[in-house]
Amino acid sequence: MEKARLLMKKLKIDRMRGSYCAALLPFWLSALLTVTPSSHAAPSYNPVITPDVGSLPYKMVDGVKEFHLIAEKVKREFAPGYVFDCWGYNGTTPGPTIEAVEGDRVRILVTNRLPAPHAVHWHGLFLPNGMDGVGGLTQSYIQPGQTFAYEFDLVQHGTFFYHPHADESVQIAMGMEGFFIIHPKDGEPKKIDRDYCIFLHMWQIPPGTSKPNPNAMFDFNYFTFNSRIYPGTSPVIAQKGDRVRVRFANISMESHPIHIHGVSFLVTATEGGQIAENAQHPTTTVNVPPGTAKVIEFVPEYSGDWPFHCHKTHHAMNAMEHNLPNVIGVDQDAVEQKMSKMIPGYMAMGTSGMHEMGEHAEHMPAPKNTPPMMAGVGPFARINMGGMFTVLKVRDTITDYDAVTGWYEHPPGTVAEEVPTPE
Amino acid sequence: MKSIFHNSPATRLLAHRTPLVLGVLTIFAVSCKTVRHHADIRDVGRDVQRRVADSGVAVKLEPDRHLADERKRTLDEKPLGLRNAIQIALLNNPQLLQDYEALGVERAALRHATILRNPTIHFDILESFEDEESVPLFVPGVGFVEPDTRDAQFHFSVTMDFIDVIRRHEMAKVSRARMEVEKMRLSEKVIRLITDVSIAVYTYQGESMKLSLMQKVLDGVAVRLEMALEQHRVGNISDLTLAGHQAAYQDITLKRTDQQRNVTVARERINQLLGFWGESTAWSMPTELTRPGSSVSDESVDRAISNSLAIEAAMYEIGILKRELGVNKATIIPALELGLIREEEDFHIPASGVSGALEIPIFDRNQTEVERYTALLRQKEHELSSIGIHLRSEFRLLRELHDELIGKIEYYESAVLPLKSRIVKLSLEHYNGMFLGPYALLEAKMDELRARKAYVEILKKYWITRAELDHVLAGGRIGDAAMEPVADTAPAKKDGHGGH
Ligand SMILES: [Cu+2]
Repeated sequence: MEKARLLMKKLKIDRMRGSYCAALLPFWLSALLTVTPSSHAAPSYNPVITPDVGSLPYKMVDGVKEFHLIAEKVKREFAPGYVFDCWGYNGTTPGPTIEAVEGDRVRILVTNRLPAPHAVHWHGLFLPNGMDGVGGLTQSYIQPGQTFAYEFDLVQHGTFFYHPHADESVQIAMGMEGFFIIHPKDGEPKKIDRDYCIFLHMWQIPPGTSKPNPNAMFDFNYFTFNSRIYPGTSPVIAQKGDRVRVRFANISMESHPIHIHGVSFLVTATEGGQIAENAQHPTTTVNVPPGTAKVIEFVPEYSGDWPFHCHKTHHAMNAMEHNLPNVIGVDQDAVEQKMSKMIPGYMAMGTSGMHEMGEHAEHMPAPKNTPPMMAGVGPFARINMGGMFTVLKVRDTITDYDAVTGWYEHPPGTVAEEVPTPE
Repeated sequence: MKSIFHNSPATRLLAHRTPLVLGVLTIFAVSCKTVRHHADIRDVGRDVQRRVADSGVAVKLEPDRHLADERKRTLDEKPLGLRNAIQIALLNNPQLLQDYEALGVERAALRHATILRNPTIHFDILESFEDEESVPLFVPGVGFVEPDTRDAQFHFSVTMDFIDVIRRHEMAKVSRARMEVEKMRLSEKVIRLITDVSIAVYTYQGESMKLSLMQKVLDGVAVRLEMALEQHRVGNISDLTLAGHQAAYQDITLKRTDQQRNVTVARERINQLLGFWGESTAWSMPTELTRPGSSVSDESVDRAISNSLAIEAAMYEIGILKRELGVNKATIIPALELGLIREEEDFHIPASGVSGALEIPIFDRNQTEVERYTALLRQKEHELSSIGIHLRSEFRLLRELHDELIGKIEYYESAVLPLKSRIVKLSLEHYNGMFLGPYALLEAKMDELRARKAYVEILKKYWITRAELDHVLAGGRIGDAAMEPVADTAPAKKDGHGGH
């Protein structure tokens, strides 16, 4: 409950506009219940952090780690006040992260509470062919109401994921995916202080609606980190000098070049395994193509609030129509006057870009359940961002990571400010 | 008129011969039928007033031009609306004024039919050809005859058709009935005029409302074009895209012109019906159609039937035909001509006596006329039932259309128009969120305007239908085919008096 309260608090701090919907509380609580690990002993590994999702609990049954994955419809709050009708596992999208250790034998019970046949594929894992989870090819479909058991030994370690291999274009588009993390049996070669999992996804949800359109091939309008859009995304938090690992996975229709400010990082692994150290090169952007996982590691040396986002510009904003007439530089004064006579409340916009959109959203009615395409308020002004955007919060010292919520306090003289324009 | 004749020779002549003038005037007054047919027209006015009492229109037919012009002047001072438009039309409609005179003509013709045939005077004067050689004359069928060569002779006789006297009484009744039918026809024309004026006014109002909506659509397209021109100016759209906007503007401009034409036509119709010309055509009228009235019950068809002038006229005509049939049966008695005769020969020995002529009904016993009238009567009876059936059926159609239109109007008002407005509001919301561009937003507004235009069209159609329905309830006819004019069924009279 304490954790739930904290999460609520966090959401309130990051909220962009509108009031947090109290009615969602039970849904959040149920999501959190799945997050809380219920293993008997403390894990022998450093658990990953899957922001806004959590990990799937297990129980030991005759020496086998038994997980229970439930495929079902879920309500996902992409950002405070904006709830969408998705599909997922155990109340969330992405589904909770399955964490185990190399050498474990796992049994994953999959109950299908969807209205459609289902099958779960364990992407990147070496396992008996009949456990690969491909409907029709390696197994029968899990019919609605049925439970199937997948049981296999974990013979590798690394970053993997699970997703449906039944009616993929629909079920994945609806939000069905999740991490499968296998920790090395001998522990990490270098101690990892913060180990994040972020699933990249994109959606087409027409403005004013609540259901993703699985028919979409193009023109997606929501781009999510763990099925959250900025400012609903949780920040990535690290102390200066921490070794930070971020594991990205992507099974959406496009690649996402994720860029992080303030750090240089190495791509250390993919879903195929570890990359040899001499093959790792420094970069600030990692492209995550569909069907892959990319693992990066860095040690932040500079404190601050650093943007963490997809570098495809339209992926770092929320829904908008892309076929709008181009009015950049168009003097709309005369037209605006005439238009507002015909349509009271009309306001010309776009002449100098979309910068003012966030502010418009504050006082102009918009379609229901549709976040403004850019929202979020920073310490200096509005932040023209949405979608795949969050903040890497690096602090000099941190005693409680969950308590890092406020904005970075800049040392004097380290913030750009206005000076006289040179002649 | 007075000024023209003032002190004219005619005036002086009249002034000096007062007794003669009085005599002439008396004769004129006695023979003049003007007063009589003016009374007929005022009768018709009262009848129509009763029929259209619900409409609140004061029906006063004024056949006297002087009085009519005076009343029209007071009406002209008021702003033009439906009711005074009707009143002006009743005073000033050129066709109605012709119809008034036609009624006068009819009245005269019918009276003529009831006047006794004038007695006939026969006379002949013969002279003898004593000293001359007689020339034989050829007489066809007889041969050559010797002409009479006696002294001069003088024959004189007065005869009168007595059968005509016998028939006269019956014919007078027929004529009175015919006059009633004629008055009904005039009632129909007056009611039709009221309806036509109503329809013209509703049409004008509706078309004017549509014009102002069309203007708003044009304004919208103009704003769109303005935006496009500015976009083009700063290099955001191609020549082709701009041309598309220009074409759309041209298209709506032409459509607006068409709508302007509709208004002009509707306006001219009012001018025609109200007899307006010159300065009087510069009228203005509120251009707002009001909301529909109440629905009409199914039972009101009985009122339409009982009021129907066509049915009443047909019944009168059946009566007339029956009477005419009776008269024709009666004239199987042979025609008899009786007269007085005076004869003088050689201007010395006058003689006088009685003359007579008796038709011998061997061949023509009037049986063909009896047959003809019998057939005409049956034809009229069939026609009567046909009028009834058609009237009921068409009344039902009209009433259903009327109620359907009320339903449509209510649907427009309660659902269609609010939804179109809601679409504009939602479009604005989508525009605010940048999910919709200004053009699409404008399009939503135009769509609302188009829906409003369609609504006005239905409202107009409703009021026209309502006018037709009221027309039928007042006794008018639906369509023209319901009844043929009397002239076509009336027999051609031997004496040439009956036809009209
Ligand atoms: Cu992206």
